[in-house]
Formats: sequence, C-alpha cells, structure tokens
Amino acid sequence: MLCIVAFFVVLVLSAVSAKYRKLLGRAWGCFSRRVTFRPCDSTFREEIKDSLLAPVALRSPRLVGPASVGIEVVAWVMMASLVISLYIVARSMLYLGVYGTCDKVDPVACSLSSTQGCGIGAAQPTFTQSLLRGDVVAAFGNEATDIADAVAAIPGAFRTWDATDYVIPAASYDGGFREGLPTALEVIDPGCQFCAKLVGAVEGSQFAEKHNITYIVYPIGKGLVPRFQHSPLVAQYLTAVRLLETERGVNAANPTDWFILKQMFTGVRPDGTGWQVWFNETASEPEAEAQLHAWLAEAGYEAAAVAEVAEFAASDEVDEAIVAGMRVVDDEIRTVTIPSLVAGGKLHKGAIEADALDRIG
Amino acid sequence: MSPLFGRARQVAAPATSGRPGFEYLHDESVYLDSACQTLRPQPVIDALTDYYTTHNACGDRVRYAWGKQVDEQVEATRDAVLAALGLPARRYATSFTLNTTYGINLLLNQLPAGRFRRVVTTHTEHNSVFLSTMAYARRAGVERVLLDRTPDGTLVLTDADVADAVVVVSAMNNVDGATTDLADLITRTQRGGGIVIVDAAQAFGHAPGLLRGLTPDAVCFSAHKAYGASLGVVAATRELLLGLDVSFIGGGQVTAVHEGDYELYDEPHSRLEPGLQAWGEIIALGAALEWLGLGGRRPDEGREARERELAGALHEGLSALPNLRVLSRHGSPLVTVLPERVDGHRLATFLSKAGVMVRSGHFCAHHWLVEREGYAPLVRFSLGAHNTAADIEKALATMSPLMKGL
Repeated sequence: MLCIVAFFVVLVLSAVSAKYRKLLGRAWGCFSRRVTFRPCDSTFREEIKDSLLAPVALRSPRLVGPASVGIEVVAWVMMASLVISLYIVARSMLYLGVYGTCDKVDPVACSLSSTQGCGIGAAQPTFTQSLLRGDVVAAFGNEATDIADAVAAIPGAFRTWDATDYVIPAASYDGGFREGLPTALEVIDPGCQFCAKLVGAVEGSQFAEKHNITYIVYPIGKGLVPRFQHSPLVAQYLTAVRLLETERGVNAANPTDWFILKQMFTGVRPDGTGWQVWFNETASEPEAEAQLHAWLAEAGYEAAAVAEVAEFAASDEVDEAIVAGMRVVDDEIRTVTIPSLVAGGKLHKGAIEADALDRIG
Repeated sequence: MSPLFGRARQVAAPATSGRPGFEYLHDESVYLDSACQTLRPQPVIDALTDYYTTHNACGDRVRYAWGKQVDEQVEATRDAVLAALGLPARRYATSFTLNTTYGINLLLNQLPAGRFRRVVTTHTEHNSVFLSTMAYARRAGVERVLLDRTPDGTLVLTDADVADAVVVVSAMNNVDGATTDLADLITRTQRGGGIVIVDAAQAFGHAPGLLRGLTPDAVCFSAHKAYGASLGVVAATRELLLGLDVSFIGGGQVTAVHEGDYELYDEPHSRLEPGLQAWGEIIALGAALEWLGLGGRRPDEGREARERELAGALHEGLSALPNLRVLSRHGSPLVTVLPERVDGHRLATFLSKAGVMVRSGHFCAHHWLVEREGYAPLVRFSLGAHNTAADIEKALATMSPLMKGL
C-alpha cells in the first residue's frame, strides 16, 4: 500500500520539483507492479519506510514498531481516501454526462455544470447518512442503485426525445391543446424556484405559441420528507383540478391548474413577496390550502366547487395519479433535475433561458 | 548522499587531525564501507589531479614529453604492483583492467580451449568468482568443483580435485574477512598441472602480507579497494598471459595487421589491455602503493596493526550488544553481523541517519549467504586506513541503543 501512496505523493512532488522525477521512475515501477497484483519492489517500499522511521529510531528505538504500524495505517487511510476520491470523481463524471450535473442532490452545487435545478434525490438518505444510522446495507445498496440508474440512463443521452411518449392521461395544456403544434413536456415541482424561472422564461419567449405545453407535477420527497413543505398539497390540488376539468370537459382552452401554477410561479403578494416564496417559507398548511381555495375562487369556482376539489384532492385517486406521473419521470424520463423539459427532440435539464427556448423552435 | 526525504544535512568542517592522509574528511561522517571502496588519501588525489593538470596525455607509442612522462609513471606502477605482491618481474607482468571482476573474466574467457579439465572454486566466494567460474565451466564444457571449508576456514580438497584445474579462489572473503591458506593450494594445484587465479580484492587492501611469498599464476585486485582510483589490476605469469587465446582485442595490442591476420605485441601485459588505458588511474595507483608503503619498500605495518586494533575494538563492542550475531572473527577488518530483531537494510538506514555508513545485504555472495546459510540481510562494518577510534566509538554508541530498543 505504501508503494501506491508513495507513487501519488512523488507524482505530486515531481510536478513541482524536478529533483523528485528520478524517484518517480522507481515509484512508478513499484506502483505498476502493485496494481497488476505482482510483488512490489520491496527495496523501494522499504527504503521509503526506513527513511521515515530513521529519525524515530535514533530518538527512541522502542517506538519504531508502533511507528511502523502507524505508517502502514496512514498509508491505508490515504489509499482509501484516494480510492474514494477517484470513485467520487468517476461517479461525478458519469452523472455529469447522464444527468447534466455531477451532484444529483443539489445540481446547482456542481461547479462543472451550469444546470439550474432542484435535485430529485434530495429526500433519499445519503451514503454517509445511512452509515451514521448504522444501515450499511442501505448505504451501499442506495449507492449501487444510483450508479445502476445512471448507467441505465446513458442511452437517454443519445436518443431523440418525443414529449408525447411521456404525456400523462388527462393532461392539461397551457392555453389549451392546438392541433399541429409539437408537444413540450415540463417536469415541475411547485416549490422549486427554478421551475418558476422556467415558467418565466416561457412567458418571455415565443415558446408557448409554438408548442402545446403540458406538465407532470413532481413534488420532490413526496411520501418521505418533502423538499418543499407544501408541494404535495399543491400537487394534489393541481391534479384534482386537472382531472375534474378534463372529465367534465371544461376550461380546456384555459385550464385552472395552469392558472394556479402561474400564480404560484410568477404571482406576487401585496407585500411584494412571491407566492412561491411565501408557500415555501411562511405559509402554514391551513394558510396554504386557503390560498389555493382563493385562487380557485379567483378562477371562477363557486364555494361548493372549491369544496369538491378539496375533497377530491385528498382522495386516493388523485394520489395515485400523482404517483403515476412521478413514476413516468423516474422510470422513463429518468431525470434527476427539476425542472426538466422534453422538447425539440431533447431532454433539457434545469431551467433554461428564454432565448434558448426560442432556439428550440 | 542526499536523504530520500527531508533536508540535506549541513556540511561540517573537515577534521583537523587523527586521519593522516585523510585530513579533508569531516568528523561527523563515519565511513565503514572500505570493503566496497576505500577512501582516497590526499597524495592519491593529488597524483590524479597532477596528471590531469600537468601532463594529461596518452601513454604508449608517443614521442612527445607528456606521453613519455605517462609511460614512465605507468611502467613504474606496473613494477610497484609486482613489488607489492612480492612477485619477480622476470616471471610476472602487470595488466590493468576495469576491476577485479573484469580481470577474472578476461582471464577465464581467454584461456586456451582444452587446456584444463575442470574449474575449481569454493562455496564462499564473491559472485565475481562464483559466477565467472560457472560461466567458464559451461562454455569450456568442463566440470566445476566447489570446495568446502572446515569451520576454521581451511579448504577441504584432494590432489585429484585440483589436477589439471583452473582454481579461482579469494585470499580473503568479502563477508567476514576469513582468509585462505593459499600456499598449499597453489603448490598442489601447480604440481597437478593446474593454475591458480587469486581474487585479492579484499586481501590486497587489508592484508597484502598474505599475498607475499606466493607463486600464483595470476592475482586480480581492485585499486579502488586499496586507496587507488577506480581500476582493476591483474598480475599474472608471462606464460599465462602469452598463452591466452586473445579474443577481446583491439588497439594497443598488435604490432602488425594484415588483411586476414594480425601479430600481437610481445609484451605480456598488452594481452589484457585492449584500447586506451586509464592512464590517470594507473598513475594514481602508483601513488597509492607508495602511500601504503608497498611500492618496493617495506610495507607500512603500522597501518595494518592500527586497522587490526580498531577492528578488534569494533568486534568486542558489537559482540557485547544484544540481539546481534557477529559472524566475523576477532580482528577481521570486515565485521559482519546478523541483526536478529531488525532488518539489516533498515538498520543500515538508521545508522546512516546518524552519520554511520555501513553496507547491508548479502554482499554479492548469494549462494553462500542466502542459498546455503539462509541469512536475512546482513550488516557489514568494514574498516579502512581513514578510520579512527572515535569512528568506532560513534558506531558503537549508535548501535547500542538500537540493538537494545528495536
């Protein structure tokens, strides 16, 4: 192990000082033998170890034994650190290629990409969290599952995407469905600020005029710990309204769920605070539900109709519809970034600017 | 030597006394690897410097002043070598090569085919002898006889073992400094029609008296183990040299060259000296022999006695330490030990950190030390003329806590 660690140490030293480059040749010889499972050049290995131990031996010979063990332990720790680092780098590169971000949990935190979005994986316990809970199986299991998911998603990076393949039953369209226009599908979480940014970009572009835009609502962390506390509630109301209006054939050209979404993403309270921020940071559950009722009323719903929506929103049917939509996202689209947009034959991860939307065509 | 890691040590001021000929040495560095290469006394360094700065010319076949001066000094060195070995110039000649190994191989590789029936050596030889005899036996298609020794180092042999044989043996081995009784071996071998080539690499520097009064067919040694510059020396009978089947050949060896043949010089030494010679190093060897008192005058017995005295003190000090087995006999200038609780290479590294430089490993005697004895890496303290009592004290003072604490 000392051989391998020494190689990387000498490699770094060689990069900054020519005097270590001869040593690098020996270190490489030892390293290459070690990584091909052949015996290491024990001379080099022992030379390094003996050099490190010599000052200890002359001061306190009895400490040579413990110091020798200490060197081996440090070498193993450094090696483990190196392997973990390499794994994280490799995994990050895989995620970057597949998902457009090296950090599934928080795409914005990935400095290698400009993706602006909320990570779907945020509600799952991380490897470290699982270990701290003592759940080793879950730690490695989740990690392996994540890697397998990423590998399975690789083909998606090279395919031509068609939004109609993922449109959910009883879908609603922004401004109603218009024959002859291509379909665009958004995956959104009502609480995600980047979804607001995407909707704002759509309004600032010609994209809506050129596409039938529909959506799948994906409240991140639903059933576990919601990333945004009222997103599941908002998703229930959006879904309930969409299903009822589609069933009854009303408001097809101006769906009320889209009205609520736009209020949520672009609306502003009298005090200047955006509604989305208020929902995420201030509103209690009753206040959030009351505001949804207020928006329904604003959209023309009578009190009885609002009550009907509220009752239906809490039903299993709505819940199943939400879960079905999320399953499409997880199993078919396989994106980990909210928002995502399927349009123009591609899967666009994260919020995109208005001019980029116009270039989609 | 710069450390593998860490800062280079500050250079201390040279010693001012106690090391005649080595005044340039620093007191803090204790060099105990003279069996590999001795340090050079100032007169030897001066001789080499003088050659380079005053008459840096080729010898042989020159008519100009510098070249003639080189020739004179080289011839004087050839004579001094024979004088140091007590060999008569009418029967022997001196050739110069690269080192002892090279000299032995040059001889064995050019022995006339079919002349000998076997090659004989012992189990306790340096690889320069052990391997070269192995190669000779394979090439010449003769048997190779390995002689055993009794516990006191005496060779066990019969006359038949050495009949018509090429015997190659060391006068003093390079591990524990044990010596070989050469007189009897030479007599019996030559009586049986064989020849004896003596590896004097250690003996010439430490105990040249062992070699005097003998009549071997060839003596090979290294000037760099005897206070000279890097150089090999072969002192051999004119008969042996002139009888060689010269195959390593080139400039400086022929009087005439024809389309398909050549004529060799009559001078026996030229048979082992193809190409340009190390003139400066040969001249420096002359200075070394003079410094040693071996240049035809009475040997400096005081130096040998001083070395034996220091070796005895070192042997006694090391023998008193725990967890250590001393393999050498008392008084040997090569004191080899087997550390029992620490790897030999590691111990040598620790000693080096304290400024005590010793050799570790198996000293090119793998068959003997590894295959036959199964020894782990050993540590060898070998003395030279530059060493002082203070060196021995420092070595022992460093070894003592290491052996007790490791």
